[in-house]
Amino acid sequence: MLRIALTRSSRAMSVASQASASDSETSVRKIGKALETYLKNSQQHVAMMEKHRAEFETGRRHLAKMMSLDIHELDQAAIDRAIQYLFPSGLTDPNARPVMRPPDEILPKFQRFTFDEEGKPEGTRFFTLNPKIYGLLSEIGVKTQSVMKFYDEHVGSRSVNRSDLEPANLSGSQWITADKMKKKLSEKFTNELYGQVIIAFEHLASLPGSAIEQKFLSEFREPMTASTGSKLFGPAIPEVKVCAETNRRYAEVTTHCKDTRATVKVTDAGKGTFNIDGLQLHDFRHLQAREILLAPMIISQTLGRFDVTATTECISNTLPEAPNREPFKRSGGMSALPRAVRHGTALCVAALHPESIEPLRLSGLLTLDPRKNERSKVNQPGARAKWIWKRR
Amino acid sequence: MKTCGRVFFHNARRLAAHKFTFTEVRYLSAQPKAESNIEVGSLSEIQMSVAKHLNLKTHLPSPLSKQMDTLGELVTLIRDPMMEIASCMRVVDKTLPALRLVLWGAFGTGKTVTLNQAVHHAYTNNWVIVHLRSAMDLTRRVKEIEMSSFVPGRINDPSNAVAVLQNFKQQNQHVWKTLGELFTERDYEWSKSERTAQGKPITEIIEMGITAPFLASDCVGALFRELRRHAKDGKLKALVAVDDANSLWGKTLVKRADRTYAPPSDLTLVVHFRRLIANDWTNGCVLMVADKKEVADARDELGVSRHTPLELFGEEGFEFVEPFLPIETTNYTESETNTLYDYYVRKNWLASKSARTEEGRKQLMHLSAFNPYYYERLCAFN
Repeated sequence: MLRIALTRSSRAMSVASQASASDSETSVRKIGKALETYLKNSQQHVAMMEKHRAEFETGRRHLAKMMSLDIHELDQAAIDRAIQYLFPSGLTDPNARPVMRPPDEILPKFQRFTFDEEGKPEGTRFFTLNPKIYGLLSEIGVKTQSVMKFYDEHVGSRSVNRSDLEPANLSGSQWITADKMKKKLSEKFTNELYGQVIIAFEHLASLPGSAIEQKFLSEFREPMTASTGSKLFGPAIPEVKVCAETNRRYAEVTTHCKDTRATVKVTDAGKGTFNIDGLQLHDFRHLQAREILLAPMIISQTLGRFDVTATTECISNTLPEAPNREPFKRSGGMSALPRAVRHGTALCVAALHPESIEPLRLSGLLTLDPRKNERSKVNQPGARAKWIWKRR
Repeated sequence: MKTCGRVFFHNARRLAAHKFTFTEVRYLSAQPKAESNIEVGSLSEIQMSVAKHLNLKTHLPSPLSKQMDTLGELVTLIRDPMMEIASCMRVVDKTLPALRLVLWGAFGTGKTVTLNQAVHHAYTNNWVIVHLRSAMDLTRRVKEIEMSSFVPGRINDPSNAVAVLQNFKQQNQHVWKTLGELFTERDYEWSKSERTAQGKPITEIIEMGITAPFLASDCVGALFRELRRHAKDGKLKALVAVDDANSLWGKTLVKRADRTYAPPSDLTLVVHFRRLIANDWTNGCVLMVADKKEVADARDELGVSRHTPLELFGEEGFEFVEPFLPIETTNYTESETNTLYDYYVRKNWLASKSARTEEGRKQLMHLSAFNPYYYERLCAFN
């Protein structure tokens, strides 16, 4: 009896939304409370999604009208632009800003069970209560077996790439956290299960030959927070090039400090010479300036190895001046110009001498200094200074 | 005379190009004793008694004279420009016009120190030395002025003139006896009461100037005139060493009665020194330093001015000194810094632990940008 009821109700579920209210009502009465709730929630969710989809479509039409666009032109990128324009937000957290996206993307998903024709739950792992995570575990097991077999077959042979017989390269990344894995598999599970999965992953990754499963492993890895990668503020570490004539390695980068923009080229295998707008190091008569210029080499302990060539210009010189004003020739000062060159040099040294990336980053030389001269205010003698107040 | 000078200028250039072979040959044959301690890239010590005798404490750059006081010895590095000067001084002859050398180079590369080394070299060879600490003293540090009674319109500078004579007397004690045996060519009538008769020793002129400051400027002229004449006759060899020589054609801070600045050609001492520089005499060597302190703005901390002789002497001055041999002073090479580093470590002048490491040695070298002045300054604080 119960079985028949289950079969009927699951049939109703397999067609999910199409289930008519009257048909299901008769059968639902005979089945358990849990399934009853599930069916109710399922129907509610379907109805809600229908409503939201309709609302989204209407909203999209209205938006197209407001932005005087054709409805077909209003794709998701255009919607984002329109929202940014209509609701300008100064909030820094992107999650706090207004957004308009299809409801399927942003509303919480409803976890739906799948059933076969006979009304049996699909997949034998249904009864483990955690089908996804056990599926992953068994997948890892299968892959472990195949990796071991692959290694045993090909070790010593020349038919495969030698790098395929190494353990997978997982440097600079870590296993995703339990929360992220729950989200990824859209399933709840205990910490013990998560621990088992990680142990299985570690075992697989440690095997020689696991490099062939690199792609699978990296799906469950995320970059370490401490690694520099693309985390640098300001220009990134440039690529190393090789000069065709001299066959020397070099790197080139453009950066700025305050009002000075510097294009710096650092060449490897040099003598430690400087050429900054035609000036050599001894033309910087203040020790402060020379210290700033040499800081990247001192920190990376490569004094006398790199040649630095730099050209500088004043950013404000390139901006248009008010028509009634004489163009004012400015130039970088005692420390701003060397600092601009130092930032460029540090980035290039990091590119040419990767061992020194970490010390350079820790000493703050790879980070752009975004500070600028504060603009002076109208009716005030300076940025902050005020005229002396005087009672008439 | 001028064409002759030009020819010589070219010859001297060629000599400078082959200076190493040349010096070695002349070393052994000519005066082995006096020059035996000169070797390029080596440290040479000037005895403290000699340094005192030559009054080097006032003539050297102040950081070096302070270091001399602290370490109790004066040790300098013999570098290429000094070798060039030494080889040029060796060819000085009665038949050749006074050889003019101009030391030029960037700030702190050792122009003044090389000049002082040359003065010491002249001392060891028993030359007469006319050494001026800075020509700028004559044009910009004039404390009191007097109008000349000898030439109308000239401006005398008694205090500087006395200083020049006193310095000459102090620096030439090694040849004082020889100078005492040289006699004046003619009568000098200094004033109504003071005169120096013909046939008196020229040291009397000096004594006269020192005791009577109002006559000192004219005495300087007479002394230089006698020196040139005796050099021509081959009785002595003279080294004229003028620091910041381009200031002789620079600007002055001397005001005339109408409150305008006097041109340097109106200053008696400047005129006398210019006559020494003019190569119408023989058997001598004129060593000049072209320094940018004459033209550079001391308050401009960032600008980099040119330091080539043409820019510094100006059109007029350059034309005056024109057939000359330029000698460039440059920054240290790595081996030169290492020599000095070893010396400073040996003297415990480099005291801190980090400065005595290999990394410290490299940092000192590069932070000073191989510039001798900056290197000395850095080593004094590490």
